[in-house]
Amino acid sequence: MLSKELRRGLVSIFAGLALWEILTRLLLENELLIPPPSSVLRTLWELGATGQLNKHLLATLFEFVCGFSTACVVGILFGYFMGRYKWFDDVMDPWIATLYSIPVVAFVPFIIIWFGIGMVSKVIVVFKITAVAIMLNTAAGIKNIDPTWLELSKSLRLNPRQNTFKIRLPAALPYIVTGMRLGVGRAMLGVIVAELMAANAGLGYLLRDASETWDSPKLFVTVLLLAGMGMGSFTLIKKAEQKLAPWRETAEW
Amino acid sequence: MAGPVLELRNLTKQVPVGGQEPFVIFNNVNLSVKEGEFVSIVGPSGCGKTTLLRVVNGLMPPSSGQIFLDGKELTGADNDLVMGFVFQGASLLPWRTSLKNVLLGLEGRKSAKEAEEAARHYLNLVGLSGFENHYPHQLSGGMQQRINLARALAVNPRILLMDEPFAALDAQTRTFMQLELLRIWWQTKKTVIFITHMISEAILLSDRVIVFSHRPGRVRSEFPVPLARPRSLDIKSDHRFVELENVVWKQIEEEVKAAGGFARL
Repeated sequence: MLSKELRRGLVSIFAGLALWEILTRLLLENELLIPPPSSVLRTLWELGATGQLNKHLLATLFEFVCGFSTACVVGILFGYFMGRYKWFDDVMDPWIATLYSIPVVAFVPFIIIWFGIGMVSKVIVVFKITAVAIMLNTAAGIKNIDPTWLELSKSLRLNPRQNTFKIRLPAALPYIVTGMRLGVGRAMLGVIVAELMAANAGLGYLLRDASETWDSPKLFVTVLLLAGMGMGSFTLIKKAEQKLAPWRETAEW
Repeated sequence: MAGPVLELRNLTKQVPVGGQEPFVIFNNVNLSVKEGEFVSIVGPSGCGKTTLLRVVNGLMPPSSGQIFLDGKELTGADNDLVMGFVFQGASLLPWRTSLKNVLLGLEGRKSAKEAEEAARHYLNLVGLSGFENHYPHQLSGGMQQRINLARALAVNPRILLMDEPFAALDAQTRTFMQLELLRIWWQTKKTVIFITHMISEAILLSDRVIVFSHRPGRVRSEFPVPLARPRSLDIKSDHRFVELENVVWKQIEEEVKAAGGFARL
């Protein structure tokens, strides 16, 4: 049985769709302005049938997953050392501050010049955005560790490896996940911007294509897919957070 | 009878203060603790009791003086796990279950099977079997302190150092925990150094009560507790208990006055 919250949410969505369908049919003669849900659905079906949907969705997903996963590894690694060693933090700080403050729109043209309009440039955009977020948050988590846990580690004579993997990294985990969550949202924007500017596949490419051909149903489909992807990745991160840090359900610390 | 388990000789800890005389936390502490003895240290706030325990455990180096364990001098390079430290706050790792928290000191030292058996044994000893898979946030303060104790005992230390472990508990829970500690000590016969503010707690639990002076802390006096074991709360009305409590309190009062009076606490 669906929960009460979910049921209300679904009813709300269907009511909204019905209203949207009725209003567009009654009031608008030109589908270009706002297409009714039925024609959005039809377009979605057509895109799926021709394999276009798969191609573009998979391209964006692939870029996203590649960039995100490498960003996790590099971000946690660098963040850990930045948190542990002040000198490394000082060395990295100006570069990260610069990278962090360059708006993604200004950054993309260079990446495209250097890496072309294919997937690699998008992977790099996703990587840059996410890695910085994860790095900064991991470093903060490592720095802010509760000193009594370090005393505990010393008192139990844990070796350096145990100290890292059993005390410091798990302690920083909530920060790391926060970094990932921030990264996901920004990287989503980044990859779409990059695809809008120059690409031969991906949802951003589809968006530009639809916009240039005045194909509003297709535009709508793309926007919906983007929304779905965003929601999906957030849900995944949230699930991962609950799995990795179950004590955070009720404990606030 | 062999020599003492732990012996402190002229142990001193001071911290440098920029451009001034160093700040002396405790000075020339001499103390020896026998096998299976339960020793409490009481003293005015800020007399350096907790720092002493940290130095003994090697969490910070002494400024001078020596620490001997079983006649062997401990140096900074010594990295054997020979002491169990029970922290004031339970300091449990929130991402580990009770069992895994107790396992922390055993991991990599024993086979997984032996380690788990030991951890379960000590959880059982502190009365928490059935709570192996609970996370700390799901347990009360008293239960968290029990795990804290089990974690320190699980590594089978030569000596157990307890730093005001019951200070954060409410009065009722605290009394129960004192009785539990009496029982657990009776069962394990560990050598214990117990730091507390509470004179009655020190007398109830210990074989010997050490009174520390105000800062810089040193051993002012020590009293054997002439009460038979096993003990229960009844001994609190024993005249020897009451007399000892008064004597110790007088001394602490003097120390507090010498340090500048109650208002400075």
